[in-house]
Amino acid sequence: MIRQLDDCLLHGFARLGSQHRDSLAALAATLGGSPLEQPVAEAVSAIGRSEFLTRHFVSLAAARAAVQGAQHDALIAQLGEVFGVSTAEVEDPPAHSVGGSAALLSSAEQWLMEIALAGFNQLDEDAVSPFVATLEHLQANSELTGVAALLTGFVNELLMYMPAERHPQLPIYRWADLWTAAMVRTQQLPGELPYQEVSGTLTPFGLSVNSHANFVSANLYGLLDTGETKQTVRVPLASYKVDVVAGPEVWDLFGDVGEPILKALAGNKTLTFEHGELAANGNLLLKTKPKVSRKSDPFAAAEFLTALPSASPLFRHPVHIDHVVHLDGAAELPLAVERLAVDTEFDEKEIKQAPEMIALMRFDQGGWRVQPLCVRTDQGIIISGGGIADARKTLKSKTLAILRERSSKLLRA
Amino acid sequence: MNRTVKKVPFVELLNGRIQGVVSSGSDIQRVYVSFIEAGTGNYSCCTNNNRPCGGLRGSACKHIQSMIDEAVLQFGADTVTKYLGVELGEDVKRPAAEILGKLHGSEQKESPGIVFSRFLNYLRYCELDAKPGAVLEMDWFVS
Repeated sequence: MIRQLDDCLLHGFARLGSQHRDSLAALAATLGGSPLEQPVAEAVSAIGRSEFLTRHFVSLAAARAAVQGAQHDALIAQLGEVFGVSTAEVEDPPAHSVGGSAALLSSAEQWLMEIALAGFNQLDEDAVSPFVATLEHLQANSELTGVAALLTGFVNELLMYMPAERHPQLPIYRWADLWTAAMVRTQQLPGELPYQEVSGTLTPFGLSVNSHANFVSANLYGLLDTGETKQTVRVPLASYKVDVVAGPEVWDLFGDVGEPILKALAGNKTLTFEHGELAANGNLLLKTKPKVSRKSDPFAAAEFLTALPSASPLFRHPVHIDHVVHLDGAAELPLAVERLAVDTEFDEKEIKQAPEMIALMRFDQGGWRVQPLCVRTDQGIIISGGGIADARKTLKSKTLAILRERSSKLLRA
Repeated sequence: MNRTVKKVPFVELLNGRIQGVVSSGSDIQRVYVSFIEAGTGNYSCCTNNNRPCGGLRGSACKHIQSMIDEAVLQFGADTVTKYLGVELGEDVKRPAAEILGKLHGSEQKESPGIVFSRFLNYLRYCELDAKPGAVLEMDWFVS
C-alpha cells in the first residue's frame, strides 16, 4: 500500500494514470472501518476529479503515517518479546494552537502539495528553491524547531538532486517518508511533554550523532540513577549549523553541557547533575553543567537497563526506534555502520569479537540493525564518542571564526 | 578530504549556478565573488567592490576552479556534475579542470551583491536557536 502511494508521489498527482487511480481506490478500501476511512475516501475521489486541496493530501499523508506507526508498534512488541522488557506508552501532549505560525505552516503544507502534484520525478530547482524563503521563517521560530529541522534536511536533499530527471535513481521511499512526516507536522504545534525535575548520577553508554548540512543532534544514552530509581535515558543536544562545521567541531555549538559529557566519555567516568528535566519520552534535559565524577562501569550499569518509552503516536515510525540493549557477544544482526561517525572509535573486527556490548537496536533498510554504543575489547571498554575530546585538541582553527573574518572582508567595500 | 574554508569560505548550488566566495591567493584582505552557470558555462568573478578579476582572460580563472573543487568536496562529484549537466569519465583526478574543459561559456557582468548576501544569509544559521527539548526526528539523517 505504501509503495502504491509512493508511486503516485513519484509520478505526480496532477498526472496520474488509470493504474494509479485504481491503486488509490484500493488504498481507500484497505482503510475501511478505520478513523481514516472517510477522509481518505474523500481525498481519493476528489483527486480523481482533479480537485487538489491541501486537506486531501494531509489525509493521504496521515494514512501513510498510520501504516508506519503500526509497523513501529509491531517492531516494539517484537523487541519486548526478545528482550523481555515492556515499553511505556507516551501520549501525545495536547497540541498548541498554531497561532501566529498558522500562515507559515500552511505555506509549507501548500508547497508539499505542489511537489506532490508535480511528482518527484519531474522536480526541478524552480519547484523547490522558492520554498527556501518560507523555510527561513520557519527556522527563525524556535517553537517550530522540530518541523523546521526536518524540512531543512528534506529541502537540502531535494536541491542536491535537481534537476531530478538527471538522476536515474531517486530515493523515493525516503523522500515519501520525509514528505509524509513534514505534511503531518504542519498540522499542529507539538505540545510540551510532561516532565519531572531530577538530580542524580548518569552512567554514559555512548553517543549517537545525526546531522544534515544545517542541523546536528547528538544523543547521549546512559543510565540515570536518582538514588531511588534507575532507568535508561537519552540526553539530547541539538543545534543549527552550517555545512562546513562538522565532526568534532559541532561540540562548539552545544554550550556548557558538551564539554563535561566529552570528558566523561573520554575518561569512562560518570556524570552528576542537579535540576535536570526528565521528560515522558525518556529525554533528560540538563539545565546546569554536569560534573565529571567517578570511574564508570557501563556494563554493570547495563544490568539495570529499562526500555525507553516509545515515541508518542505522532512520531511513531520504524526509523525512530532506538532501543538500548545489552548483548552477550557479537550480534548476529548486521551492524548499523552507516550510523557510526566517520572517525568512529570502533573497529568492525573488534566489534565482531567482542564478548559483550551495549547497543541501540535500529530498524533500517527493511531489517534490524545493531548500532554499538559501548564495546568490551581486549584493550578495555571502547565507548562511542570517547575519541571526540582528543580530536578536538588537534583542531587547528575555528571554522566559524574564519567564515566571520572572511565575510568582514566583503563588508569592507 | 575536507573542505578548505580559508580558501573558499562559501560555495552553494543555487538557481542553476555554482556560486561562492573565494579568498585571494595573494592578498589576505581581498575576497572574490564567483559563479559558473549550468548548461551555458557562463561565469563571473570579481572582487566585492565589483572590480573584475585579473585572472579572467577569455576563460574561467583559478578562483572559479577552486570554487568548483570545493563544491565537489562539499557535495560530491556526482551531484556537481549532474547539476552542471556535464558528464565526466571514471576516476577523475582533477574534476574542476575537467568540468571547465567541457563548459564553454563567456564572462558575465553581474553585481557581486547577490552572492554576498547569500553568504551572509548562510551565516545566519549560526545565530538560529533550536528549542531545548523539542522532539526531533534527526534519525532520518545519517551522516
